[in-house]
Amino acid sequence: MHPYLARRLLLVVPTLIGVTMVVFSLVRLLPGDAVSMLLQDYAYAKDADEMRARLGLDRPVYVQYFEWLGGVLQGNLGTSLRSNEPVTVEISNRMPVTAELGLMAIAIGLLIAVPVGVISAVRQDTRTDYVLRGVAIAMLAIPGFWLGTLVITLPSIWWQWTPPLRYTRLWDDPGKNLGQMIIPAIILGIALSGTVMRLTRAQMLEVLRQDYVRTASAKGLDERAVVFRHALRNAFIPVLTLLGLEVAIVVGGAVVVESVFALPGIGRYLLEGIQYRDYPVIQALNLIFATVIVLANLLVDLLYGWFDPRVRYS
Amino acid sequence: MRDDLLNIPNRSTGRLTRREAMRGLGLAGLGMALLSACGQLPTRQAPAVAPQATPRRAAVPASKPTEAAKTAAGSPKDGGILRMYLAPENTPTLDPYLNVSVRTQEPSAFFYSRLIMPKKGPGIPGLAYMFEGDLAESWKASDDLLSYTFNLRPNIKWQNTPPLNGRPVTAQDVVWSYERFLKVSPERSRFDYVASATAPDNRTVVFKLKDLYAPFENAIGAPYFWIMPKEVVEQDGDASKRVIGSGPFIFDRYESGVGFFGHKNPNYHRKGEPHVDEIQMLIIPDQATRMAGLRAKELDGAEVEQQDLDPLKQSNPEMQVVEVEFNNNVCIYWKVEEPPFNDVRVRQAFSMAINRDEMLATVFNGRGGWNTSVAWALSEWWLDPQGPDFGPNARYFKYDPAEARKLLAAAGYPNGMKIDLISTPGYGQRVIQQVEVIQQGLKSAGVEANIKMQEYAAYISTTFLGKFDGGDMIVVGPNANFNEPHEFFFLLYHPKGPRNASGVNDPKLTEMIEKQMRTLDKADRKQQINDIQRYLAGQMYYVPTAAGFRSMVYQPYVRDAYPRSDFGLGAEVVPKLWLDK
Repeated sequence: MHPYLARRLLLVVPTLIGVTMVVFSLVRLLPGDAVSMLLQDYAYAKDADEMRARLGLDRPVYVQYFEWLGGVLQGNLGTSLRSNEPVTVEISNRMPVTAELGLMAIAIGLLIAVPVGVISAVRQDTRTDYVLRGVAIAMLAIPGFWLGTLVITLPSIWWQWTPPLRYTRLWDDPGKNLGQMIIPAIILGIALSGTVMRLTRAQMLEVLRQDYVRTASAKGLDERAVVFRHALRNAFIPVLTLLGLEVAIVVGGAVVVESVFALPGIGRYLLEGIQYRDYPVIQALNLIFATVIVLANLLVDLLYGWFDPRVRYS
Repeated sequence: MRDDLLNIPNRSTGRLTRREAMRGLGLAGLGMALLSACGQLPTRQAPAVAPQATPRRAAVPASKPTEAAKTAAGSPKDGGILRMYLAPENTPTLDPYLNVSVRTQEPSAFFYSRLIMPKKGPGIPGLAYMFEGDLAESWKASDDLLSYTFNLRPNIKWQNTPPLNGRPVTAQDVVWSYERFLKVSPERSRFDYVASATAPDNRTVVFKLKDLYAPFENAIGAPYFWIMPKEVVEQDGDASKRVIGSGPFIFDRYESGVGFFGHKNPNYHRKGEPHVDEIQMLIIPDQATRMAGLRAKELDGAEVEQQDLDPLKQSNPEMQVVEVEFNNNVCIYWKVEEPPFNDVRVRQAFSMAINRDEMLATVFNGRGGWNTSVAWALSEWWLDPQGPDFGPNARYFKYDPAEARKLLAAAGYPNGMKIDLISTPGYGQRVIQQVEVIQQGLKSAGVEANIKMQEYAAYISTTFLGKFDGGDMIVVGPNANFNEPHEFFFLLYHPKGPRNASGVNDPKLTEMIEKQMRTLDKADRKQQINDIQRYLAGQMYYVPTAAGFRSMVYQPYVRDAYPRSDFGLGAEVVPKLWLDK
């Protein structure tokens, strides 16, 4: 396993460098530039040229790239063109919000999807199955922003209640923080759960037809043990793969959910970065997202072995 | 075997038939419909009160300062925390000289002071621009009107925080701020007409002008030229890390993505203000969230889009709405030097193809006015194109597709035209709706407009600055919220105007603009500004459209909240309001 892990980790490096090159180039190909956005309505030509030079944006792109990459290797993700503040500081302030939201969402998504998927498979073609499949399709179809807006709007009209609008950090007041995070996490989790539930059901249906399940049952094992210990564990491997990919969906969903619930996470930071062509912010966040997704998928690959001892890393 | 093992009910009873499934789906659909109906979603519900069919022609200032200015019996109560929505996104920087964005200027008003500022109070329209002293106790112009002397109040102090430690604000601070403004602010051209600023003593500041400049007070009192703390900038390089001013509130902290927080300045120079002990100015990106915050009383006040106003009034009739005319002028522009828009008849035809009443009804709840080259909101200077004094060129504002077709035919386009219409979704739903009304109007005159939406960043850095191809292409977009007619004229129509995206270079017009700029007699200047509006109505270098109101909504217990003007909410409105609870 160790050589496998080392090889995979080595592959992460060129992957991330590739990501930085693509992102660095693409953001500069977008119409509009950071200087015009900074000066907005007041972009006198002289001011724009001065500012472009001050920010170092008048230099060749490859020079800017290698300077930025050099900084990244030393832990400096750059300075925001818009706020003139270190991107690393802003990200470290915001990362806990998105990480908490994402982890809660994945946990909630799994808590919903796995039991529902199992029940749906076990009760195949019954009313329960149809209802649960309908719910799963609804979860897939309902956009997070719509659900979030409903959850914000309807209670405010019916009961004059809304989740707290002023964000409280977890370490300042855990109760208040969880009260604020739980609804957006459920919304994000619901978006995840539809796909996971359907895949869980499909895999369970396949596994439940395997000989070893029949054998386990014939041995007189308890139904729960057959389903959860023998069937689910094997059915879960493709679901695990999906979970690795769903990290990207969590990141994308966070952009929307954080805006709706006024959460100061990195999803919103990315959105503002794109709106203002704040190149260092976009580059840094994409690098971080790419790293998280690559590592999450690596973790998933490693977990295969735990779920299925037959899997060998070579 | 598996059925037994997994305890699946008998198929004959447990399995759904297709009919049962269809019935279930039907019931689910009905349930969703009922849920939507019960939800009274504001965006889907028809207002109980239909918008007024005929827009009100505002010949007089139309803001409603008295609605929220109702004072409870007795004097204002001090205390409480004021929590408001301030912005949808982060501030770019806390130093107001380094960025001209509203996101920077608006928070600055809570913590910094100006020399003078617009007066607020009962019966004063939001955009009246009657100035009163902020740091200045008095001010006067010299006999030749080429210099202005400001006398500072005797009791003005910086907030009692190191390194200022509550020392007096001096005339030298004003001059130092002016000099820094000229060095670093993208807005420095605001003072192009100023020859010098000097401080003969600690309490006197003298601005000498290069030439007569009628809008001087307006420029010096606009919420850009804040008096900044010299010591902080000298120590830190700029004022982006520490906010120490002489304004009504003392800065506590700025939480990125969350908001601004501050408390009352006990040594504020305007005695008795502010009334609230603490301010929490929140960043909330989503409009639906702001509305929910108002309904749930999580917010004491917030600006609300016009389309959301009626549903809010229905669900929460107790809310107070304080309105001010919207001094924004969404225009059509193009390259006036190139065909087909170098022909004045084509430009006039396009103007006559716009149904401004329809725009008011669709976008602004049927209330507002027709802009000319001056926004209708600047009622003191605006000449009503539907009024008796406008003259013959008023006809180019009237929706008359038949006449527009004739003008196009006379210009060589008897079969109409096909054009591209460029705009951006970056200004929100309001401008998109205005674009759609324009497109419909143009169609009625035989002009097929193909809408092409540019992403905001691309728009603001190319098209907005006039970097677009001429020919069969028009742009629809707003200008900033100017508060002086000279700003509309100079910035858009003067050859040196930085926002002259249409490329206007009309010597007669340039002379008119420069003449009114040097005319200090108000009545005479108004006459000249009227003449410019009449002249531009004939030329239609830019085609003005229509605008409505901006609405601030406050909880019923908020008292003495007067109409806001521009970015000065924190200095002009918030210190005066109080919480009756």
